[in-house]
Amino acid sequence: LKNYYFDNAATSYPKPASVYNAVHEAMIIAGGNPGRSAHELSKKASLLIYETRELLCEFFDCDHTERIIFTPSATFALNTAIHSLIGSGGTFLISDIEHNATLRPIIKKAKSENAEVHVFKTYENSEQTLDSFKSSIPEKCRGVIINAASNVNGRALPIYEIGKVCKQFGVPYIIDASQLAGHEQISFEKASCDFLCCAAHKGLFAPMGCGFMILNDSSVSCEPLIYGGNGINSLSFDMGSEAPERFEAGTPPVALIAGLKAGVEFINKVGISAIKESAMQQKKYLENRICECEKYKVYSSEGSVPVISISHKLKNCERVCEELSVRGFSARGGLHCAPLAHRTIGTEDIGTVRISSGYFNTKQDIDRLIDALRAI
Amino acid sequence: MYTSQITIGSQTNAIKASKILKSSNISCEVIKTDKDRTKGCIFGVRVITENYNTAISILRDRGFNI
Repeated sequence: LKNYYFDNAATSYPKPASVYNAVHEAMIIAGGNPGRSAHELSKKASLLIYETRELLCEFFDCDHTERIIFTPSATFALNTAIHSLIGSGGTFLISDIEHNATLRPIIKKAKSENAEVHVFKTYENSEQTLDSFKSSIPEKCRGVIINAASNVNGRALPIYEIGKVCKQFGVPYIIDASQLAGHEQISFEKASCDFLCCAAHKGLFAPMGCGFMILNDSSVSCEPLIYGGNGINSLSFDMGSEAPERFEAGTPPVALIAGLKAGVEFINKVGISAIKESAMQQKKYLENRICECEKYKVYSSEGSVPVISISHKLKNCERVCEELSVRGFSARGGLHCAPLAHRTIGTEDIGTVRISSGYFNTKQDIDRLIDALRAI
Repeated sequence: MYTSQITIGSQTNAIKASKILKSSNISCEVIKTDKDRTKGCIFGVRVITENYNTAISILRDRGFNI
């Protein structure tokens, strides 16, 4: 049974062929432990990682190669960023489309530091969202954390405008770019953020198990989340001051990083505007076709991230996903680790079926999906 | 031909230094240096001794604290 994959918001699949090849090749030609030794296999691994940092720097419009920090996931990066917001009391401000990757660590932090978490309302219209954000900034704001795009319905937030306001107020600013990266050109410089946290295995086509964060002048000296060996200053009991090693305790996943490099090179080759155009066309077509099916309600947005949610008027979302799976379709039901976003669209109690297409989906795939949805 | 070591710190910064030097036509290689054993493992670059002062100057201009 052929699999029609519509769960790209969870992880993109398939990856470009060059990604699989790069992972395989890295394990053979760069099989040494990077940053530890000066033998050829180690140096090749280190160089591969360095070149990936250079590529990401260029891709995200960032000036400092050493401020690209590899992490095991976006969640890990977000935890590091949130951990860095030292102090007590005050208030953290987050949006109403946050993922649990942000929600859980910030709630935990607020509880342990006698602080509050305020949630500002977002809208389809960016200006309305910005007004809502501005009017929600609390007096003692210890940090703003926002999801650049929702993993539930693709709603995108005005990250640059929010960055300007944070800069004006001197408030630390953290962006979760996991869903937006690879679908829109993101400028780290223009975003004026302290941390840009990102998953590598979604729109950037890397294998699972790899994420990264980009740091600015002030966040580069923040406390790491974990401690351990990093290949340098072994006699010292602390992590040292040099980024990225300060934040990268333990052996990095060289093969996965090689996959990320190949994924970004693929995007550069195709062109991000071509990817965006393809995603927008697919999203529009998918939305229009599902709207033809009366038994489904559609929750969508105008953003460029090809994610929409639907709910069946009679069947629960998990049942619909199960029936889709039997027919060869991969989609994700439930709350998608984003209870706030579901509360925002009014589906907190029922969840949704999330349909997230990817670069390799075709119009015919969507037509077959619609046939299957009609049959359920 | 005599060579000299420039101690940098992390391997990432040593690679960065080597790329900067190579772009200035100074040949070099990344090494694990034995110059400063008081800190433990540390990386640097090896250059031809006659290029040592030029290399130091270039790297300092690019923000390396050496």
